Parts: sequence; structure tokens; C-alpha cells
Amino acid sequence: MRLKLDRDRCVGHARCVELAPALFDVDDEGFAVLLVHDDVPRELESDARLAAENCPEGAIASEE
Amino acid sequence: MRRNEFDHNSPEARDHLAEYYAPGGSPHGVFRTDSWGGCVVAGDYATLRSVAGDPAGYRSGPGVLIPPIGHQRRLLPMESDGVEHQAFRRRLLAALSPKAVAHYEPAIEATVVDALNALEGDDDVDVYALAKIVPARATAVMLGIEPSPQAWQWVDTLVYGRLVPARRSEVLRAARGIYEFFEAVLRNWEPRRDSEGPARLIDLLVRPDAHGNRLSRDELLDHCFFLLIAGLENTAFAIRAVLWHLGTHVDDRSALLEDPQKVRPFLEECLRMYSPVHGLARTSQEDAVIAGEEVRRGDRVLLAFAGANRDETVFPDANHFDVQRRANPHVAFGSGAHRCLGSNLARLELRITASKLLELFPRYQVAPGQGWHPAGPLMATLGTRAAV
Repeated sequence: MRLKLDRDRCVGHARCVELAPALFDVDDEGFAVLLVHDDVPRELESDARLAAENCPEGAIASEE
Repeated sequence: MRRNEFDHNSPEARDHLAEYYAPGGSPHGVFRTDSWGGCVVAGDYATLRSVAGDPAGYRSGPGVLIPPIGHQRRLLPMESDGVEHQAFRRRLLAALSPKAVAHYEPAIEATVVDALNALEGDDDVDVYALAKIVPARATAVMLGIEPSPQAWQWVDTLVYGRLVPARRSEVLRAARGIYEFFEAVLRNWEPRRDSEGPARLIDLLVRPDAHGNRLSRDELLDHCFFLLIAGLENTAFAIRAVLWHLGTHVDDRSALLEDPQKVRPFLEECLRMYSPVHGLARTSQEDAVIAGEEVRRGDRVLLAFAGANRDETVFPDANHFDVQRRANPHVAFGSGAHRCLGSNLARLELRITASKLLELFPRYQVAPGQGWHPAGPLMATLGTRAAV
């Protein structure tokens, strides 16, 4: 699985960094930053889906 | 209720929110209401997001409160658009990021503990005090002011008084009171040096921004005015909702006591089910058709957050409070470019209040017979303090 973050859609709700702190961080202004660009480690796949499902802007996609 | 009578400010909406916005009920989808001079209501999730996601087509500058306060000033940074809005937000974003607000955790925790200690002892206590003290302290610390004893009175007058035409002069007096309060604050303002700790919001408003631009005196005061209102009222609603739910739903309280990891999803579910802000408006810049409803240039479109948060297509069994709800992309803090600037601070206040209450008073219960209300006294028993 790989994650895609659309930074243009992110407005800084910060749900992703709360739900999947190993996969996302936020920059100084609070906008999401994707930490893992390669395959998501298997043990983090559930967190990755959780982050995508909870983004109110639909800015995160998980691709199997 | 008929759709053209929909009114997000009505006692029915405020005190019976679950019924008023029930999935499948009349005020769902997109429709026109005659209340408050009329507007188009965007009450489903997808439409709300598409309107909120087009800030150039649906602007905030003409005013987002229905009805407005009526004090003839903009609520900044909320009631601005485009590059001006971005520049206003950029001043404050970093100070309100998740990492920056975490700095205030000890101060907020101390406030919660002090407030709980003050309530302890009596059998029946009004925990609404907690919902008012916590945001008052957090807002004062973030802005860099001493809390004004009158602040809550002024803010309540604005928030409720604006709904009653007969209270107009009282509302304007309260607005003037807040402006005069901040004029005095700014006259005596001593900017904080970087070595003295993180800049307070007023420091950031007084300074030139990264491009060397300064706010005018009016813009500066308009920011202070709105940051005070936003910091107090909406957070108090949210905290009261958390306190009400925790004290009336023993099973959910037990679930959180068993597994404190569930506190965060619990708070998100509170925000979804008891959205503190039912709706904010935009003004359409063009004639358009949204979800089959004709919108004319100049029409107001109400983003009905409380309705969208009960959209069954996004939240299955939407009127059911589910501590375990997995997918919960609610829009209680809005959507798009105007996302609530204080959302990270509000979440911190909610989390500390809920966690400390459960940790210190695990048998906390709301006194019987108190149904849902967004504001007002909330009688409860704290119960025996947990053994350390």
C-alpha cells in the first residue's frame, strides 16, 4: 500500500497526524506532511486507512 | 417542521439537535429557508464541502453570521477572502499549530485541576463552570491578556442578544465594551521578546508579518474582538457537550476508563454529534445551481455543519453516538480555507478536560433529569476522588 497526500486540499485539520503519527507530521503552519513515500509497512496499513478515512478534506488516498 | 421554516438558531434546533437534524428528517439536503431574510441551506456533506471548497465563488467577507451581530465591523480573520484572508491567517497559523498549542498543555491542565478542586466537596455541582473557565483561561493565555471578568457577559450578550431585535442596543454596548477593553490592552501592550517564550497572538497581530506588512488599527482590534468570542463561546459549547455526554452515558464513560486510547475518538464523536456551530454562511458571487437548487448572485448559502455531520452517506447510523466510530471525517470545525483556526487548541482543551475529569473523578455523573442543552447550568455529582 502507498499513501498519497494532496497538499493543495489540506487545510490543517491535523486528524492524520493524530491518528497515524508514524506516517504523517505537520509543518510549522500545521499543514500535513507525508513521512512515508514508499510502501507503507504492513503493521501501519490500518493506521494509513484510518488517516485517509478521517480527513475531512479528502486529501489523503491509500492505494493498495 | 417545514423546510422553509428551517432555523439553525431556533430553540428546536439548539435543544433538540439530534431530532432537528435527524437523517431522513425534513431539513436535509439542499433547500431554501425563509428564516432571517432567507438563504439556501447546504445541509448535506458533499454539497457543504463543495461550497466551502470554493471560497472565491462563495465569499465570507459579506458576513458569515446569520443573523449578524450588527456592530458594522468584520469578524477577522473569518470575514475576509482571497489573498487578504490568507495573509491574516498566515500571521496566526504557526502559533495555533498542534505543536505550538501543546506548549500550553500544563497551563490548561492546571486550570482544569484547579476548577475541579474548587467544585469538589458539594453533592451537586454545576460543571458548566468548567466549560467556561477552561476556554476563558486558554484564550487569555493564547492572546496574552488577563481574563476580563466581564468577558463572558459581553460574549453571551453578543451571541444570544443578536437573535433578539429588542436587545440591539445592549448588543452594541457589549461590542463597544470589548473594543474598549482591547484598546486599553493595546495601549499598554509590551511585546514579548523571543527569549521570554512563544509569541502570544496579540504579539503576532501587532508585529509586521513575514512580508513587512502591518495590520491597521481597525484590523488589529477586529481580530482581537473575534478571537475572544471564538475562543470562549464555541469551546464552551464543545466542553459542555463532552461533560453532558460523559455524565449521562455510563457505558461510554466506562469504555473510556477501561481504555483511555478511546478518549480521542470519543471527542471526535462528540464534535460530530453535538457540533457547537450549527451553521455559517457564504455569499454566492454568481448565479448557480447547487444540488438542483437555484442560487442567485448575492444569495447567502448556509453551511449547515450540524446537518452534514448527520449525513448517512458518510456516517452510517448517523444519529447513533458510537465511541468506536472508525471513519469520522466530520466538519464540526468547518471545511476548506476557513477551517477553524483554533481547532488544535479546542481539541487540546477538550482532551485535557475529559481525561482529567475521568482520572480524578471516575464516578462522575450528571444529575438525573437533565436533557441535552448546548449551554446553561449542568448539575452533576463528581463522586469519590480516585485513589492515587
